[in-house]
Amino acid sequence: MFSYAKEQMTYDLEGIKVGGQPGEYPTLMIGTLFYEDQFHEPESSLEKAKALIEDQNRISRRTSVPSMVDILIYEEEEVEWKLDFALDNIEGFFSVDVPEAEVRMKVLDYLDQQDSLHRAIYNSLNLGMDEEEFELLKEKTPAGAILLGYNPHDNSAHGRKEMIKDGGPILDKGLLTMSQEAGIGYVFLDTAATPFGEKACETVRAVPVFKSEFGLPVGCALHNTIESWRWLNDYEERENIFDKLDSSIDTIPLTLGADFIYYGPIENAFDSILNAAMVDKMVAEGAQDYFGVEISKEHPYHTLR
Amino acid sequence: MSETYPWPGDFKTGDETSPVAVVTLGHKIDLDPDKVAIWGPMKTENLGIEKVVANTISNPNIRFLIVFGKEIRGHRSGRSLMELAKNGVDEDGKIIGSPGAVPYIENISEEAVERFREQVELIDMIDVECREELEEVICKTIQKDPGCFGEPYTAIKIERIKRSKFHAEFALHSSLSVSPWGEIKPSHQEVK
Repeated sequence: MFSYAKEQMTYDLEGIKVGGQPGEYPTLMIGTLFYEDQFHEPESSLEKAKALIEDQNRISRRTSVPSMVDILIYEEEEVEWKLDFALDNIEGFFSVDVPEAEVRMKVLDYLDQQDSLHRAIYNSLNLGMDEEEFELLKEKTPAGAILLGYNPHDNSAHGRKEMIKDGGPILDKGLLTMSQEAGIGYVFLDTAATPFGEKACETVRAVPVFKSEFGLPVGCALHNTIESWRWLNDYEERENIFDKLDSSIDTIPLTLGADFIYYGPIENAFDSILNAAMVDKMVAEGAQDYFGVEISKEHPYHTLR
Repeated sequence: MSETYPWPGDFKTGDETSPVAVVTLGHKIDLDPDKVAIWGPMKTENLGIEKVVANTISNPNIRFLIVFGKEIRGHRSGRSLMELAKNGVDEDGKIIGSPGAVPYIENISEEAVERFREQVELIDMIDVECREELEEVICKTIQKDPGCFGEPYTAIKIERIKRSKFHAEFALHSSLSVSPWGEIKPSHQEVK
C-alpha cells in the first residue's frame, strides 16, 4: 500500500534478503529461544530447543518467509553454553538478545574467542550502552546490530527517531553514528515497542518514519505490547486468546512495510510466520499493482498461490 | 486506579493507614489487606518504577516499601528501585548505580523522586521467595511505624510533547507526506 521515495537498503544474509521497498522481500521473522519460563532445566532442554529451531525452519521453508533464531542470554554464566548451543545448532546468522550491558560484553568476548562475530546480530545497541561497551564493540565487532529507538524522554515517533539519529537529549551522538563508528555492517532499526498507555501506536507509526528517514531495514517486537497489557493478563479467558493476539499484533507494522519482526517465543513460529506470509502476500500485490515493485522470486506471493 | 493511588498499574490495595507497601517483582500474590496498604508486581526498571514511586508518595501513611521476590532478570528492576532510593537520579534521569538495562526516570519530576526517597525506607527482600518470611517482616515493620509523612503528593505525569490539533493534513506522521497513490516522501514540516 505504500512505497518510499527514499532508497531502501537491502541486506543479503547468506541468501536471506531483508529490507527494500514494501513488497519486494518477505519479512524476516525472528523467534526467541530461552525465555525465562520457556526452559526450566537448561541441560535437559537442548533437545527441545533443537526441535523448536527445526519447527521454525520447516515453516519458513514451507512459506518462503525467512526466519532467524534469537538467543536470549540473561546472566554471565549462561553465555558459554547458550552460545555453544547456537554455534552448533544454527546455520548462518543468529541474533543474541542480551538485556544487561555487562553480559553483552561477555558475549562479544566469547564470540570473538570462537571466531564467530561474523555470524552475530547484536541485540541491541541502546541508550544503556556505556563507553566501555562502545570501545569493546569497536574492537570486537559483530556482523550486525539492532539499534533500539527507545527514548524514555520522548516516546513519540519523533523521539524514537532522534535516539537513532542524534541520541536525543540523553546520548552525545545517535545510535546510528555509533554503529557506523564501530564498523557494524548490518544495521537494523527497532522502533521499540511500548505498552498500551505509553504511546504504543508510536511504535507502529515509527516504522514509516524510520524507513523514510534512514532507508534501512526497520522492525519491532510488538508482541511485548500484548505481554504488558494489564487487562489481558487478568482476563479470565487469557489462556484461550493470548497466543493469538501475541502473534497477530505483528500484522500491523507489516502493513506499513516493516522488514523484520521479533515475534517472541519461538514456540509461536507457526502462527507468527503464517500471519507474516498472509500480510506479505497482500503487501506485495499492492506494491506490484501501484508501484511496479519487482517481487522477489522466493516470496509467498509466488510460492503460496 | 483509585483516588488514593492515581497512577494506573497492576496492584491491589488494603488499609490506607498501613505504613507498609510491598513490591512483589514478578510475583502475583495476595497479601493481608489489613496489614498492607498497596502491593503488586513491578517488572520494568523505568515505567514500572515510576508507577511505584507515584503511587507510594500519593499515600503519606506509607513509610516502608518492601521489595520482595525473585529479581526480574535483564531489567533488574528490584535492584534499580533500591538504587533509586539510595542514590536518586542523575541529570539525564538515569538511576545512579542501577544495574538495569534502561533505568531512566523521565515521566515524573525530580521533586517527586526526592519526596519518595524521603518518605519511605526500602526493605531489601530481593530473591527471597518465602511467603512466610515476607509476612513476618510485614508484621515487624508495622510496629516501627513513625507516623504519617504529611500531605499526599500527587505526581503529575510529565507531558513533554507539545500537542498540536490534528488538521488531517497528515495521515501517518507529520514528517511524512503520503501521496494519493501511497508514495511516502519527507514532508519537511515535522510537528514534534
